Amino acid sequence: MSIDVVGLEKKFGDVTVVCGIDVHVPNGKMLVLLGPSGCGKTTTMRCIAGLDTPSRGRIEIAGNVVYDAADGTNVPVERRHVGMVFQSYAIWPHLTVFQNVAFPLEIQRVGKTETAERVHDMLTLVGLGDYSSRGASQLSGGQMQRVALARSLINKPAVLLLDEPLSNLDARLRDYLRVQLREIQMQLAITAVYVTHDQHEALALADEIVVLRAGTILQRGEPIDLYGHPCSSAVAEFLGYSNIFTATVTARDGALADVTFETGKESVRGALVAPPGDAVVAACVRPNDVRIAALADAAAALPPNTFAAEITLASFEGSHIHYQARCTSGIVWDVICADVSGALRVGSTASIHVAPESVLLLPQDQA
Amino acid sequence: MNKPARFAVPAALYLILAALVIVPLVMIAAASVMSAPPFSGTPFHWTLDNYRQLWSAEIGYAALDTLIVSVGGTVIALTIGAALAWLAARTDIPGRPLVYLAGITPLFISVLVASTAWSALASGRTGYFNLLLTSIGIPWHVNVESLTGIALLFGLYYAPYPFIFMYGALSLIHPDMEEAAAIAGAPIVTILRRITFPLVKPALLGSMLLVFALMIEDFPMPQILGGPAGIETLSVAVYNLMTRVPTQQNAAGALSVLLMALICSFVLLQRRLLAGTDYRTVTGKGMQYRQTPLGVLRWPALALVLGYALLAIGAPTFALLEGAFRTNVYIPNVAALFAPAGISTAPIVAALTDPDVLAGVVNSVVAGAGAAIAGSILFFILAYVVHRTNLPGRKQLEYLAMLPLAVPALVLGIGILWTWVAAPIPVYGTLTILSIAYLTRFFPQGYRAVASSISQIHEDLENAARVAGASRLQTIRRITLPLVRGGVVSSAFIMLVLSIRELTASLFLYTTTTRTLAIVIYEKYITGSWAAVASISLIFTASLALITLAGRRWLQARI
Repeated sequence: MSIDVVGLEKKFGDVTVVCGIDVHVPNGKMLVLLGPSGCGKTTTMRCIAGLDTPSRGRIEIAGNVVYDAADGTNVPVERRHVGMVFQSYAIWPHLTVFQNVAFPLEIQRVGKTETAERVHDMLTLVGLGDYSSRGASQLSGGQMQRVALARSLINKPAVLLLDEPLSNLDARLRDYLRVQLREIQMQLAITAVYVTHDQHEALALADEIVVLRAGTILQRGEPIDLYGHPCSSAVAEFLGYSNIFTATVTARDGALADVTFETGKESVRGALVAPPGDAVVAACVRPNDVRIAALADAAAALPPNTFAAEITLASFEGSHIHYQARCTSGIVWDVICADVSGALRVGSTASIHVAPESVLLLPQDQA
Repeated sequence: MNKPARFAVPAALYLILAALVIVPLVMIAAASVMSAPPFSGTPFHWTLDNYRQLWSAEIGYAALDTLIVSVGGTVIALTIGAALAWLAARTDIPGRPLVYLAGITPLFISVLVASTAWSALASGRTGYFNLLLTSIGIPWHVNVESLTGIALLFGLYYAPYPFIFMYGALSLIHPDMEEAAAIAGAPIVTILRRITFPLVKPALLGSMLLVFALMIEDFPMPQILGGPAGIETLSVAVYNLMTRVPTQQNAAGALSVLLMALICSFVLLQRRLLAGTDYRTVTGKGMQYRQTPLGVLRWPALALVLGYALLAIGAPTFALLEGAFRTNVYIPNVAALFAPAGISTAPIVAALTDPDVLAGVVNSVVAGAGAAIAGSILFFILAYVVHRTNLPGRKQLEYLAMLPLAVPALVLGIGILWTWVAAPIPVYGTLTILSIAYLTRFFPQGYRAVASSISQIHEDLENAARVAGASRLQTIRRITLPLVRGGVVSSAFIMLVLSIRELTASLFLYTTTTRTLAIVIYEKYITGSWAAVASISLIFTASLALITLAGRRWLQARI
């Protein structure tokens, strides 16, 4: 069961929220729509579900056209046969867990015995086998989330839609349910679209990630590929490249280039991704690619791609230390150091080194 | 939703609301510029004479009297209401639940009953209260049949409105806000002035304008207490123009238009003041209020609260009991008030077996239930259309639904009379016209109860059902209706209670066969039989209290 979205556009009044995007989700795969709030990811999903009517474009689910602006096709939401997990869970408070999960079967007029059997199996699958007679208001957030998942899967939908399903849970539960969600999705081999603003969730869950901003697709790709090769500074920022500096290209050397930061003081060699025509680029470095070490003599000459900086923050976070270090020019480096034994002190001087291959010189997006 | 339905549903709602709200107002406006009452059969021409006629000393005095009793009443009501609210919400006064009870209970005593009871208590030398004064040697009589008296009683019986507003505002201020100010170094007086007061100011101003408007349009109290003293407020003047022979119905229409414009401007002002000042800070977490210690003033404060309860609830109840359980009409002194000799159940038995009373009970319940049932169905459909669809014109529908707030009850009654008296559907003279009047008058209150419970339901709950394969109608039946059931039932309940209490709008709409209980009380009062008035009022008040008590769980039934 695949999903095909072609040229989808959605306007609310005069505001265009989704400006002509194309998405293809192959059978059994999970596509993640990643982007900041207001980027159009939830609207795209609601258009697929049929909760919002697009302004233009075509949507196919499992080969059936459910919306086509060209010929006016618009299958109502209740006949699209999709499963959906809402951000607010949307567990009906006047019904029990069993009644919540059984509701879609009841609408389809499935017999009592079969319903009981299928609901039981589904609740067991999501790990809530013993909860069927509980009232919905007696559940914790994580349990509600699993009831919502069971309800969305019970009538074997063609596709599963998940709208930030984990965002209202605490961090530990989120990690646990993320794994469970991916397991269930792969086990049932169900085609899924997942909306989130959290890059960890996106990277962990997706077969393919689509990064959205202001209603347009910035980049798409498999998680590992996307993480290693963001195509622009906006995507890089979204994927956790927390060191992003505007810089001017001064020299080119094949795939590498030398650039000077806006401050005019720091020069660095990096991997040139931006097209050769761009004189101004964004130098992007992940915090865990920055090497940091104590610097005894601040006056000594430093090797290339290395800077002296004063430690302004050292925050021990268990598996790593999070540093911030400021150069005399004013730029601040964000550093994650896996070595927690030789902690540097706030106020001390350190050397910052970035390998040329970890500095991505990307085209700069207009904010 | 398919195309025809997209227009049919709002069109039907517009038609109903127009018939209920717009047409009566148009009738009033038309009558005010005609030379004869609408549909009276008399040939007429268009004229502004009706307005010119209002430019008289009589109306001038009525306006002045209205202003005096309303301003005085507002000041008293606000003072009492705000003080009680603060004591109940924020202090360590002994018996705080009791203070709360004292704050809201007077709301359940109908103004009609309160007026008749007080006229027995404190008018002339033989008012019960004045007998008491005489007996303890005070040569001075309280007379509520005066401007001061009306203002005082307005203050007593309208105090629950500011109380409810202020209590709500005070108990919704998260204590963290005041504690944050305390931590920032502000002394208690500064906290009250800079944090607490600004947060409750909208409630204070809002309730001030509300009670002011309610007092201007109030009819039973100035009519019953002002009548004997020759005091006429604007709404009494409208009534007199309508009913005193020779009637001047068109002048009444003109005065109605002016009165409505006045009330309308206050309601608009109130809405404007309250718009965007929703300071609710509910977090759903249990809040621990900081209570201001009253110290030695705790007991005097409680005494004041009890004094208010005694005046607003105790004294009229005593008067009704006296009237209902005593055969001797003339009570010369205090001793006679408590003399066991005159005690008898005869008046109350007479009232209970009076066919007028029995018919009144049936009529009140039937007309009220009609309004409640029709109302709750209509309110649900309207609230669903406004909050859950994108049908054309739904916002304007909501404005129309709230419009009766700005129409004085007396004016509404006249408008409904003129609308239906000549209508091809024969509703005039039936209980249906009373149901229509109740439905229209209390439309805003009933609608709000349903609308607020619909808007509290997360739309995803309904979307989830749609995604699960349920159609719109299935979703309404299986999800929306069960979730708003509490709101719909409490709306029907509010409609029923308010309708049974209603007097003013019914005054022009009843006939000898459709007298409601409130009408029966009013007529008995006019014909001067105090024993009957007291007995029926007692039954009336007790039944309303019982209904309210029984329905308390419905009023709180919210999922």
